[in-house]
Amino acid sequence: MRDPIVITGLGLTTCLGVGVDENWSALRDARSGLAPVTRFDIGDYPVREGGEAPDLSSTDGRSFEEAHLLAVIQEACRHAGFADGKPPTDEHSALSIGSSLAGSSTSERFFESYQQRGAQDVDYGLLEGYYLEDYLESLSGELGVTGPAVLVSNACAAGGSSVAQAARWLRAGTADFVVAAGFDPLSVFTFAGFGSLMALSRSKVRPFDENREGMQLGDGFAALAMERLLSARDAGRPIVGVLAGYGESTDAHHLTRPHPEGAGAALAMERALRMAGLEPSEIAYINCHGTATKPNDSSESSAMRAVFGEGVREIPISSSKPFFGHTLGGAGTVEAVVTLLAMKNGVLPANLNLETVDPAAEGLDVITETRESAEIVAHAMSNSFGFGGCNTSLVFSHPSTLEEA
Amino acid sequence: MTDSRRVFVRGVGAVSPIGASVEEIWDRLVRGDYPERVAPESERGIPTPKSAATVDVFREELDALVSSRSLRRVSQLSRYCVAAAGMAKPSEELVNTDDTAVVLGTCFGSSRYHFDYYEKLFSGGIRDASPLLFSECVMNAVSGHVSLHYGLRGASLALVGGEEVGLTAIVDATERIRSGEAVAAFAGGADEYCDFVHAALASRSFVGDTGPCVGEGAAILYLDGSSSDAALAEVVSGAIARGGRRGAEAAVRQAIRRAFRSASIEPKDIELVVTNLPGQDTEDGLDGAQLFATIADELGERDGSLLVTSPSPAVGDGFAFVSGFQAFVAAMSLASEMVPGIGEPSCEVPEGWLADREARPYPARHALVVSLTRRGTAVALLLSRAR
Repeated sequence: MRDPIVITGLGLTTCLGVGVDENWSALRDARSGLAPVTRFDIGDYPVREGGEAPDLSSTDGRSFEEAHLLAVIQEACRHAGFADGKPPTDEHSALSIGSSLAGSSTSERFFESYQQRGAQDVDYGLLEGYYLEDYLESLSGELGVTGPAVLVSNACAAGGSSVAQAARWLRAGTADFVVAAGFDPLSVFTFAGFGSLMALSRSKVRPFDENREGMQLGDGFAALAMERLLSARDAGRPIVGVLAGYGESTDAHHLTRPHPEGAGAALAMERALRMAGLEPSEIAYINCHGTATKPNDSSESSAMRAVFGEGVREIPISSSKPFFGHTLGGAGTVEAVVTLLAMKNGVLPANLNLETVDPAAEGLDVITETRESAEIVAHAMSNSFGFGGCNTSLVFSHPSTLEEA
Repeated sequence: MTDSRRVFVRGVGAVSPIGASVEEIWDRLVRGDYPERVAPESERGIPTPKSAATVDVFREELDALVSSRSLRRVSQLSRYCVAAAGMAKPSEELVNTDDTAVVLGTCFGSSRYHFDYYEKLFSGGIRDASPLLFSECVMNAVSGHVSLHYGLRGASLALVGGEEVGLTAIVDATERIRSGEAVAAFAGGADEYCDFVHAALASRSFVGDTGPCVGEGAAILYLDGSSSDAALAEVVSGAIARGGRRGAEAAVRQAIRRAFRSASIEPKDIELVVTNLPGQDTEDGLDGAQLFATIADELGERDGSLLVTSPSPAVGDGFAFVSGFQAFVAAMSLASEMVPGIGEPSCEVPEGWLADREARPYPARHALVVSLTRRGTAVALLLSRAR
């Protein structure tokens, strides 16, 4: 990229806490936030845990997810230097939001009422939040954004793709300041759905473990304030990291199962590296998608071997999902923030709960305990994959690399 | 001619309330012959408005188009999209499938499956959740099925928004080709009729028996940057703007101005306007006549050198399919030098503009496609004749 795309602000909320600091503290201390689900009745269902963020019950009528989404966007903007938590209010500001299911809590409220009152008497106005343009218009109005605003939906790759979308606009000059956000709430909709696919774990989440049983789900809300380097420097904003490259691809293999050799995932990683102008050996950390399902982790392991070759053994990797669960459409953005915090602090968060390394991951440097990096983490990758065979890889660089360039 | 910065419409496809093949749809548009628009009766007893433009009458043609065994259990909307993409696809084998993207705009995704899933979940509990319905009702199942069916490994995603989002997807796909991230793309809009959604929209006065009539279907363009040969049109530029607190009129002006900012043509060059024709005002009170007046103000004074048309009287309104279909109509009009009639205009047309009830030969060189949502989001897309 000629004028590098930089990240000038971060916002994050998961079950680990509200705000970047609370989340980083738990990540650094290897404390998982997964706990028994209380948000909805799961009866005697064998899967018990999930990641629930604190309720930000707002007095202005915003839904749970809308209140959290707005909060992380405002956090990212404040971090970037906007004291009022709002981006510049002109047509050169934009919003790129990734979500898999967005308005699911609205549908759930509606269906509770539908069950009680029936088709003739239920208030169909309760489905208001199902019309997702409302999210965009409400946020744009609140934040004063009049440039483009889109909701990107490619399942669990959506958060990563929202970051890619923001970079595309910045590169093309479509916008000068973009907030890229990703979110999905823990909901009965996804809990039951992934349960029906036998993808949820009854025990701890163990990415890359031979005895892994699957994922647990969690709330995830994250935002990145993004700009071109020159304008960020002119404005004196903090440079948190550089988005050096991104790659998107599709498996074209199956709607819900990943390609067994990770061919599509490898393509996304290769594209991200190519755009970044980096050799695979220059990557110093990979924050994996690592859902802890059997198909995902073996597919991702194969893809990393294909892209990084023998050198993959030298690259520390971890999945952050044992901390806050799979945050679905939020995952790509949530884990991008985790990757940037790891680079900033020189501390790589652990892949919790790993006991017996899966044969497919044999020889990979899966981090089992928080690791302080001896050197600056110059370049790191964050992966997100989802239904539809969607894959998105992001490559971030440390701000110090800008000086070298 | 090869220019990686130029993007051409090489093919169009649609499954619509007026047909399930390009030939039939175009023939009906030109003849002004549209089936009666009657909403299917809700099997659940949901009170819905009586009017809707659905593809039910073309179900057999659709089944013939997507007869693949792998598509039997997928949602109706995904079937619409696979069929429409198949029509838009060039007749020769697709090359560069690794670099072909799919970007589809939708307001509601596979809403029938979505609500079927919820009904089952809330009546039977967590253990009754259907894995088939769950995986099919993610928003991007529509784009995923197109990628899967045609073996495409470029980016594949849904953009979710208001009825403008079919055009937003075309703007997005164009940017992907221009930036070199894709060499080709299937892009457009898709939504399906669902009794729950229809009732929900009616509760917000978005639709009604006297207001606009929701229209379902899929309208998809095949875009690439390879050559103008045999192309239907060239995508010049596009832009998206949010009204926010400034209102819908400001959004329309901003979208048009931004589209021209990066274009090789000027407002005075536009000879054809294809717009949605909302039968109701935007939430901040902009009506159809004011929308036309705003566009006219941006394009400058005319003396019968600008024709306006809208597919809304033919295929309905309110869904992302319709904005994708506007691009379909614009590309076909530029290529065939024939513009479908607007039917009975629901509002006054600006002085100096032409608005014909019936189709007419009209060799327009440049077209402006505008979609405005009731929440005040606007998209402007500029298309030119390819040759």
